[in-house]
Amino acid sequence: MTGGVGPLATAGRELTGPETSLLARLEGILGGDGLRTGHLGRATYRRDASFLNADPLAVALPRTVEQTAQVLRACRDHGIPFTPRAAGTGLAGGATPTGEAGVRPVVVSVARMDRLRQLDVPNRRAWVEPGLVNARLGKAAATHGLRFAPDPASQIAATLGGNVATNAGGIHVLTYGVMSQHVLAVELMDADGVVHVLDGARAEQAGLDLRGVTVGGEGTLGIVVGACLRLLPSPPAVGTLLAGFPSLDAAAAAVGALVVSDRLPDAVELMDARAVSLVEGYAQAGYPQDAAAVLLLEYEGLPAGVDAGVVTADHLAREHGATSVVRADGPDQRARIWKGRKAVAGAIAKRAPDFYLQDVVVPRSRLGEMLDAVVAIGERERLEILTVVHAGDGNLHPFVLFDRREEGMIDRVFAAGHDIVATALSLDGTVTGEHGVGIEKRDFLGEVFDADDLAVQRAVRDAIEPSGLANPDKVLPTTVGCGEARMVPEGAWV
Amino acid sequence: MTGHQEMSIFDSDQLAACVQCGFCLSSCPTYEVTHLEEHGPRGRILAMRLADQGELPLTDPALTDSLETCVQCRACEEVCPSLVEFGSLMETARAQLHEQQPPTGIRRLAHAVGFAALGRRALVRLASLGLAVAQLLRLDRVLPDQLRPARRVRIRDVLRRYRTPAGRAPRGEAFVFRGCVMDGMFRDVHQATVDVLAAVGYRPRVEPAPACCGALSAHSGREDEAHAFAQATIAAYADTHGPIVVDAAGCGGAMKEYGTLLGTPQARAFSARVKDLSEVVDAADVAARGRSVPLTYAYQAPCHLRNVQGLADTSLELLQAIPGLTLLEPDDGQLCCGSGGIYSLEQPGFGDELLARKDASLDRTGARAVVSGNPGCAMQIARAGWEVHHPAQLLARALRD
Repeated sequence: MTGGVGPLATAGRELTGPETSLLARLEGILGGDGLRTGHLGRATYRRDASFLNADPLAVALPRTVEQTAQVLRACRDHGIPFTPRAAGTGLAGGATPTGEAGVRPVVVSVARMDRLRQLDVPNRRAWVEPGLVNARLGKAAATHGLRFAPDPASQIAATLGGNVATNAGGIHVLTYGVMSQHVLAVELMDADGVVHVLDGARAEQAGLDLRGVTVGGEGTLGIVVGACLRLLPSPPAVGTLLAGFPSLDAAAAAVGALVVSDRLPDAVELMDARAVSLVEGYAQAGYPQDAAAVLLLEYEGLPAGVDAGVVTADHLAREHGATSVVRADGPDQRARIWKGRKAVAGAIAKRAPDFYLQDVVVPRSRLGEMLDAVVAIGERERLEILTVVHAGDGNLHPFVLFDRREEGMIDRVFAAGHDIVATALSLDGTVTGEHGVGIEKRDFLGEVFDADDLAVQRAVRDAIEPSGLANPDKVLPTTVGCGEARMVPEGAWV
Repeated sequence: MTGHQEMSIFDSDQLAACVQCGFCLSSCPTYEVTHLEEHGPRGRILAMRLADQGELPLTDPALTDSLETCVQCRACEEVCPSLVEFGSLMETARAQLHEQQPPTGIRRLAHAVGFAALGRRALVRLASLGLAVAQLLRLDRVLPDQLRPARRVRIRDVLRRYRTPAGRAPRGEAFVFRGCVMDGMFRDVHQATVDVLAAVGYRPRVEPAPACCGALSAHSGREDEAHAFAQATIAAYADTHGPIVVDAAGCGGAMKEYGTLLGTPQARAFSARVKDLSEVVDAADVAARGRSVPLTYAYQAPCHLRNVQGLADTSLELLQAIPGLTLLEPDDGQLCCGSGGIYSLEQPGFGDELLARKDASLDRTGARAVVSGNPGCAMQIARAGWEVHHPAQLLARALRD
């Protein structure tokens, strides 16, 4: 474990020859305004929204696709890797600039490329630059009665390039699917600075689905420099319900019944009592404060269908022991209900300065078992764990709360994280639902896949990105060994 | 690099309240300009942490720049799920910077003269008169663009004496806070506020008239001076009762925070009396008996009305109640116009860029004039050639006998 190693250990290192000449070339390409090499400029890019830090060599902020290509070619010529980034709201360390053998990558931020290139209303699609904020596409689409379905909690700041790179999800994945279902084409720039347009805006494509391979590549296959995204009509009616349950098990059982009922909800979220009390002050959504678990349910569609769904949900929730079922009284309360749910990660700081967030998935039928196991793990490691769940698709987000300054804390946190993942795997689940693998979940892949599976994935990656310079150290474990999961890779610190 | 500082600069709980989720980025006007973390709230909090832990001195040029380029609009507080008190952290940072690295040269002189003047109403009024005369004679054109107030100040407004109607006043007394710049350059706005208060049943008072609320001092790290202004303001109203109505959103925001600034029961009680016009005028009343004002305006919500007082929607709803009035909202999410008190003078690069963006988004509304309730915003937006009116002026017109 390298937890606790402070930033002073790595700051102010001497530059090597290739590093010096790369920086000079980058300055020529980007000008002083587009390159950050000083202590503060680099320090602010040590991490994304995960807790792992690493010092980059520099931060490059190209304004155009052409500048991005020049930056990548310069990196290639000097044999220096790069870490793509936009808003840095990722939760798995995918934008933490680690490099193999302590080589410091250049962070390439595409945040300045943030235009909505084309809103193609008749064909219900949008061409976007990678730095465009998710919610801004939604706002632009809404003026034409359209919506962009993927709605990760961080959508007010997260960018679409990052959403493509991590195959992000959100609250409405239950019926609309994750990002991949909404990406019609990807413009992927490889490490030689060449842009490949994978798939297109046409309805059907022939040949191998290379677009599908690159969505969720987390920067290891190159940089997403543009995308064509699918827009959907906004639903004519929406019904949102809050149901309070006396136990996690009861709520989990209700979820099981809801998703096999004749009215599939469009969103089924579960929040435990800790999560509810944490965000109520901020969102003032009217979550029941005395319940052990709260379900947030949403039905969309034609008014009659929505009303039928609401009646079904009310009935099923009460049948499974719900102590309260309330329908949002209008758009304002609905907005507050979702605002509260989306605020959980950010609001954690009111309890503890750090969190380690898991993203495990289990079959819906095992949800109750998994929730009980998380509670037991928290008790065993004497840690506060708060859980929110995209319950409809069995995707749990247990937040392990901690303060990194506390002696021996990091080890307990990692032990808890490991046990949560191991439990999910033992229940036929997997390590990540939507946040991506990054570096935090990387070494768990050895427990999900066997050596052959990983070799195939590595071969695919190497075929698309042979240089090894694109976001090194991420997603695929370098050495495979069951049970050898390392939470903090070399060169990173907590 | 300096050694580790034993004395912590910041309240460590406040710094720890940020988990670096990044939700704030898209709300931050300066991040929107450069897309650099060091110009966003998350990066600025990291900069404070680095200074607090002694990894970098506060006087490191990049760190100082990160902190000084913040316009203090507080939009990040609105979207922060952890409710981080960013404004308070930034004021602490500015106070420390001011102590460790006081302004030098022309900036020092400008601060010395400017801040001294804020405390002397007669001086501000004299300067306003000078400006009005200079504008009349077109002498103000010798000033560089940055320093030339775009607001047209009329001599008769500067010399104007407030008329306080003495009709029936079932709601009792209400005090109009006159402030410093407002009392020199915006007497017409104050008069409108007085007229509105009278029209809705108050007996408006323009005395007592303490010198300055101290907001600009607090934002610039002049902590002691800010405290002194706050104390003097509270003392001035000691023997009065009734709402203290503030028609400058920045002053109102600052005065509502005296309670936390000074931490005394007296200050908290004072802050509770501070009201924006939209809190004392009933929209339904305006809708019922207001005269038609058949005009179209773009509505600009001052940051300290929106993010500090949380009244942007209330104020908008009040104006929407005026019969015949059409209000158009810009599509920029009410991003800061770049005024920020004296920010547009101190950081012209950011100030001008933010103004250009505001100008473009106001233009996209199709309106030809702007309504905004803060003198800083009004003067900044006027620099882009807009006619800017205060909500009080529209309300006064609607409620005129």
